[in-house]
Amino acid sequence: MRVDGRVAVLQNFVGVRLAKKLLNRQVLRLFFRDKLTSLGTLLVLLTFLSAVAAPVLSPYPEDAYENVHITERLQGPSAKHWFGTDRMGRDIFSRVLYGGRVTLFIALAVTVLSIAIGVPLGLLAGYNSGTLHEVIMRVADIFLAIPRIILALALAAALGPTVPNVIIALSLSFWPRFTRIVAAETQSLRHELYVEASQSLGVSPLSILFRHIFVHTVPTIIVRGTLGMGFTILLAATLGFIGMGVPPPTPEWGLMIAESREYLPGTWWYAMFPGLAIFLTVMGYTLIGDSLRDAMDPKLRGH
Amino acid sequence: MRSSATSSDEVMASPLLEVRDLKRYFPVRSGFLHRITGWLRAVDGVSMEVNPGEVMGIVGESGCGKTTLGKTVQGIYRPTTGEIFLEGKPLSRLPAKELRKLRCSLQYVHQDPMASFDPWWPLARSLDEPLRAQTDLSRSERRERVARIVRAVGLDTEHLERYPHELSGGQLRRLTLARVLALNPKVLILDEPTASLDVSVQARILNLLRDLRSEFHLTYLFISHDLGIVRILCDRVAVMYLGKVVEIGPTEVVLRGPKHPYTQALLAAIPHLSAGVPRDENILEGEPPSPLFLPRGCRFSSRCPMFREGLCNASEPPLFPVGPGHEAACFRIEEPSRTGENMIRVEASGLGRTEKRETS
Amino acid sequence: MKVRPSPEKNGGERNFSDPKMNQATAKNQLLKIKDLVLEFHTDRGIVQALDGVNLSVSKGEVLGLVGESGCGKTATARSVLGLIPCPPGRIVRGEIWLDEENLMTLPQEILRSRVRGNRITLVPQDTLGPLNPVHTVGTQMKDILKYKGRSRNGNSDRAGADHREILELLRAVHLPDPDRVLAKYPSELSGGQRQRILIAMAFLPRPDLIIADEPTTALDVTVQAQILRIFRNLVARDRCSVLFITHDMGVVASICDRVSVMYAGQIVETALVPKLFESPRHPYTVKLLESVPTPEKKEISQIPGTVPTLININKGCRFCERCPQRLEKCRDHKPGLTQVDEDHAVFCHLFG
Repeated sequence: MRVDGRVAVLQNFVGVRLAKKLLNRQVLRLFFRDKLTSLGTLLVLLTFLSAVAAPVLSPYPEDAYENVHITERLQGPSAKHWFGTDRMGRDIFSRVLYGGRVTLFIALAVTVLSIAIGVPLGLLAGYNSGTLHEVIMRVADIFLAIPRIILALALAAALGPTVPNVIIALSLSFWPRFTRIVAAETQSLRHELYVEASQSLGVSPLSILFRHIFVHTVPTIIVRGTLGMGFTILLAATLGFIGMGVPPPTPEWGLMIAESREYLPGTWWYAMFPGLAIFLTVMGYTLIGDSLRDAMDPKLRGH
Repeated sequence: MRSSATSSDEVMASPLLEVRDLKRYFPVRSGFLHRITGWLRAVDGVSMEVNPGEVMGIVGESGCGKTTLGKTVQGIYRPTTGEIFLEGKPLSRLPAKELRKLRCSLQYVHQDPMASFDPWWPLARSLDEPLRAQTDLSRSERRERVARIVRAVGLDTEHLERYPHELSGGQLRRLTLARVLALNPKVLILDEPTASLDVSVQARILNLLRDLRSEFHLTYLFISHDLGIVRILCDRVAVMYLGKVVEIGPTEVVLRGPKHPYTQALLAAIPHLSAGVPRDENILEGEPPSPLFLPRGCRFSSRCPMFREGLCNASEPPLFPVGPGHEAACFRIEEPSRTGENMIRVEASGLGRTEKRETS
Repeated sequence: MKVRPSPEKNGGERNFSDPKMNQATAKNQLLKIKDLVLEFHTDRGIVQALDGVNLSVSKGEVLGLVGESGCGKTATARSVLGLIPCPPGRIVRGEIWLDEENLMTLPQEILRSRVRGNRITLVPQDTLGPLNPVHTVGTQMKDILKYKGRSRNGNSDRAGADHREILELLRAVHLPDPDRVLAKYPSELSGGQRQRILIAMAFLPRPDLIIADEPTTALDVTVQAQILRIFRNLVARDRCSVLFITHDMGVVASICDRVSVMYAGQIVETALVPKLFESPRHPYTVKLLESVPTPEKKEISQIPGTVPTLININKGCRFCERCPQRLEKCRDHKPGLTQVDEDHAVFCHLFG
């Protein structure tokens, strides 16, 4: 069989009625195909669900933002505070859960925005040759030449530390990666025989671009996006750690670690739990991303 | 989809499809700056006329330009120079909208049926696509039309639920035909419709093409490398070599008495079922020269058994008339060919038994 | 991964052997395949690829093995060479005799060193894959002689003789300027030229048997004519035996002495070539010949139905579903051999 079942999964995913097919057996097989992948899937699900359900799961939701309990500050993990308390006496467990919300929101927003900018540009660049292609690719190159962290830092510093600005800064550093891979794929797909056949049948270029070419780039986009999520989370935390990210009192993991610095090493829980959250989340996305990339190996691509 | 009627005196005289001195060159780029260093002359001045209901065969070996010719005629490639007339109208001078409508009548069927379908689309969707793009029919009307045509090509609608890789070569071939037939074309350009199919499947596809022709009143431009198939379906045949037509005429006439040395060699090279071994002298030596470095004069001169210095390498021979509707591009057609005594005698028997050819 | 397991003792229908076996000239047989049964274990079931194949090639003979895609001709060839991966393949039973040795009993080591590339060589269909792109043609051809123990390192006499032998063979395959060709890389040559080199490489070690697997299918018809002529000349010169696999009846007519027709893993008819074309007996052979397009024919007939899948296939004749003359017993009873004429055998209930 020329087209492997795994690619068939993604074509189901992308094609008709996402929701109905989302939980079919092939999808499950993809996300649980071996131990590491399953681990990644579980981690992602865990962090996702705990973030979504934060208000329900947190014992002290009021501690998420501004709150002060001076008497309870810097206490170690106990039955009352599973992860201990921070310098304002806020429950770290609750803050970690809510921090997950912030982080996830930022990461998703960044990924979505980057895809929204990068993919259409990539399709345009790949489908055309000549000036348009060159212009788009050179602009992308300029952005790609600067390491993501530095670009994000510079932009965040310039724009100022707010959540929207962090999102913008991170997106601007992420979109060119999508453009580059989508442009490369589009260029090769453009010469496929079925594209030529559709052209000779009189199908409009826009229709071909979207319904034939774009659809085939989706697996690559998903892989890149998933891997990118992990790194984006790390970047967001780094920005927060440096103080260029979201402002206090927003519960953000990087920010929490930054706050904890002056109290280390005694109050180990203050840095440990947010750090662990970052670690597990990033690892989860990276594991899934890696696994999806292996599944998308070109030799299974039905050519 | 039918075009408006042309004036009555034109209808009788004019061919449905006409190609006039068509050329299609591809630039060859090399060097650091991708400069153009030469031209690949894939189609180098081809003219022909195809009448309504006729099947015109285009025969040649790899590299002769027949596929490029087919694609240029349909519009996948733009001609470098030359003109294509469909129903008397020059395609290059039409406004875009009318061109689009007219091009519907002229469809191209690709050589590789598996690759001409998007592997991720169910075939129903692939067959629906051209109708959706070119007509205003509603979804149910489209579905109905597709179903009717799929049955006409000998398949069932349940095949439409599948994906390309699930069907056989023969079935996919039928579906590529169905896909273009949905647009009610008048002319089909068939590029090696039986390539890579088993002999028994090939027979069925050829018979299917014959049935479809009468059922849908089609005209075919039939591209093939196999002279053996040509007699079954083609009324006339054009033999191509390195971008030019070297012989053209009614199929029977050309196969019975080919005048161009290349056509003769092509016929001689086909292994025959009962004749055994062909005479060694008739086997054409060497290989076609690279299309980038064509020999001076006649393109076939480097391999031609009738080559004469001073004549054949001085200038390119035009097509000379050698009979009613029969032309060959060779300066030496009046002389008896060396391979003359080995011409096959064309018999109209079912098993294709020929008279034994002379072997010694 | 075992590649050559020993055949299992199995009860079941013992198939009749090829007619030549019973003649006094049996000693003249180089290759003899007896009752070869091969299956492949796949997720969809057990594919019964070969169902009791019998064939033989005499010394100096060219036997054509003809059939459509999927009929098992390549599987047969690979079985002779011991190149069927087991698993998923499994040779249920059968014997493959090369002269006096049963190849099925030989270990892989011996097959590799003594048989393959030495006593049996292969001319493949694909011309690019089998040639190493990073070595010149000359190196690859010298390697063939080196591995056959023909050339000895450091012995310049021997090296000179090898070189001459290679050049002579390249001339025999009509490659102009053989010295220049030896220095070229495979990618610098055309398909026709590469096929000639592959043919030269197959004849170089002076094998007993050459298996040609559709060597001209991908070539233009004029190039095919050249290649076939070269092949004929070399076979006549070396007097080696050839198992020539093809789907093209015309090629069979121009190069083979005898031919076996295969359908869906079964041999249905074997005869001398002129006999087969003159008076084909098996309904499949008849239909096949009728559907071959040649410039003389105005019509070709077609065979209704499709090739059956080889999983859970009926025990009898596998053509019975599509056969216009099928009988009641065809489905479940495998037809035995009927000697229609001298050197003409059919496996069909209509005749026996």
